[in-house]
Amino acid sequence: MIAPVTWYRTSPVSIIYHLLNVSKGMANAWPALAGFAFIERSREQLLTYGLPSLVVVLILLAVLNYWFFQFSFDEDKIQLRSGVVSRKRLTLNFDRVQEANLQQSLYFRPFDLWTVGLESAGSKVQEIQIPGIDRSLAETIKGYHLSHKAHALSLDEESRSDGSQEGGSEDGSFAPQSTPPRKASTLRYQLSLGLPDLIRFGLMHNSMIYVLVVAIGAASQSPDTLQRLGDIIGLDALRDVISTSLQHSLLGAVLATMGVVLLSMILLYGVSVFLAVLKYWGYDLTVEDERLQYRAGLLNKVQRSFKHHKLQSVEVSQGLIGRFLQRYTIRLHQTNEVVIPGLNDARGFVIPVLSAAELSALKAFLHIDAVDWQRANPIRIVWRTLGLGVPLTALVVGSALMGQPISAAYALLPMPVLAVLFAGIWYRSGYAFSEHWMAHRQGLLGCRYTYVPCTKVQMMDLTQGPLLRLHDASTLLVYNGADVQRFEFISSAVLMPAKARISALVAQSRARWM
Amino acid sequence: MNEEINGLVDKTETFSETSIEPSIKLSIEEWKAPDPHYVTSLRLVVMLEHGVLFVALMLVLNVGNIPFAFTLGLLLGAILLTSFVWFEIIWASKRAKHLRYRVRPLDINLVKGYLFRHDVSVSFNRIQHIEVSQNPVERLFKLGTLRVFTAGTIGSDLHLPGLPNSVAHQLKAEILNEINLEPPADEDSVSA
Repeated sequence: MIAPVTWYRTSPVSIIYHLLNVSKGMANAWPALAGFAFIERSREQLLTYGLPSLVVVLILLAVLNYWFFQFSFDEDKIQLRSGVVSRKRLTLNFDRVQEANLQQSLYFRPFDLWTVGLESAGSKVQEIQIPGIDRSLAETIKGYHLSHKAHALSLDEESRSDGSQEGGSEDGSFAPQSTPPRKASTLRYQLSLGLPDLIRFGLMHNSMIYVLVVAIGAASQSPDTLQRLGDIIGLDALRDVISTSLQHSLLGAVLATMGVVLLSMILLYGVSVFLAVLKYWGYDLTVEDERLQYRAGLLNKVQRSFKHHKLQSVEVSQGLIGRFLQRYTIRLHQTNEVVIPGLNDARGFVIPVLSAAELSALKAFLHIDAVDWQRANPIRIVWRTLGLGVPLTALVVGSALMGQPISAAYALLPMPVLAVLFAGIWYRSGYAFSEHWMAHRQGLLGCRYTYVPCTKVQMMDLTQGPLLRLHDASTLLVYNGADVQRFEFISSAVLMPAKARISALVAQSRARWM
Repeated sequence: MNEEINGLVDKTETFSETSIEPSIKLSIEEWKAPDPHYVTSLRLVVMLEHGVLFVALMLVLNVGNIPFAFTLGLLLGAILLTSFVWFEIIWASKRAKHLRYRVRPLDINLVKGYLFRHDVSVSFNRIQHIEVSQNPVERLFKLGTLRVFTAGTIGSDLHLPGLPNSVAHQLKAEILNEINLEPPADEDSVSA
């Protein structure tokens, strides 16, 4: 007889979650609203009737979404029912779940409610979120996932070792009674980031610059908005200060301009640091056995974990400011990375700030070999310069001949500038093939190092076009479960044996890879 | 060190002209050529594609009110004819000539391309699934395409066209058999 399914409804507080979700969906319709905003009469109607109606519709949709969102679970699977107009029913078996994450948003904190995020891997990646449930229920769901994994592991161990050993739960704030006792875990690495580290991160990764560029681009479409923005910032007053200084002395004007630029930079970097503090406050990374886990967040607390065997590539980045501060950022990538807004970082498992010593320790934990960096064929500088320089030069000459107000002398600029640029990129870039890893680095002012374990390779494609053939060079495309790496313009005499050796390693490997 | 592992290391100069030897041996570890009908099927596809383009061009020029339609028609017709001659006579035979595949005990390899050469390898223990597909032209010539899918990112699939359909199905069965014989993954060891 089939046992009746108990359907749960989340806390009414989760209406806020649904409201934010539908608002995000509505935000995608901004181009349509922008069209109305340009017509004055439409704008008035939009403000008088449109916005209040929109708010009512959003709240109504959020309440309906909350009402129709139900879930049920047992030891093997979790089921969701959702959707107002088109109803959806989703069943996710715990053995398909790759990760279970818990998150507590700011609006859930007073009620001690949590959001459970479940990621599954496979040909079609799925992710589900259950918002606004009690901590005990959230832990129960996570516990079923963990016990299922532990059970699968123990079954496999038994089949391979005559059942002499029992498997244990990998993690587990919750363990159902049927779960075998958990093996004692060993703390292998720990990293806590304090305020100085978060300030460094904010300085190293200033996303506000991109936001500013996009905002200026959007505002420039409407001169009125730009004018109003200028009024708010006090652009006219600043212009007055600079022009008054210029009347007195050139030095004064220069100092005033520098002051304005400095203030703007302080503001930009201040916001960036503030966001970094919000995101990574109390960042605490622990490595127990083969599992990395971190908790962080000032308003939204996030807990993420990553199993070492799922590692597909390691990305170490150091921008220009990072070079001055002598700090690095690491992203660990796994198979079919699922990006859950608010739960995951944009890409990969992030360790925001590391000193050189901490980086070395982490590399040792990840078993990254010391690599002997080599550079690609330098003839690449010539081809890249010609490839971009010739069209640019032709464009400048053509513009001058067509009577555009540009001097033909500018045609002399592209080639040397590009040659210096590409020579710099060539000098800072490199590749390496060690016994178990392949690596490449790229950059000019900053640098990004990518390490790929040889045994995680899915497919390799050694390509050679006519230009590469001319220099007896090739490009090796290495596909792994997370991304594709390109080893470009490297001697075929190096790449061909490397490909053959890595093919052999992959074919022989019996280790888990995802 | 790894050069002796099950003889997996490819000592063939895959990019040199001399390395691509037509082979009629049945040994699975030898580089093998596609079916001789593959080049004919490619030519038929080129003919059909250019035929469709020609009809579309004629329709647009005759139905649409386009200025200088005759001159434009002559120009586009010349481009279409050049393209047809290139693909029909040179490209099809070169593509078929430079396509070779090899199935070894632990992996499958493919060499393809005339101007842009590719040497692709996929190990059996990374294969997610395999399928044999057949479009109408392939069906006409009793050919099939073996598609090997891995868990990598977009583009990490190996497509081996021009196989006799029976050979494609046989290869699929043999590879699946090899995969099924693989011992389970070692849970205790972590790669790299």
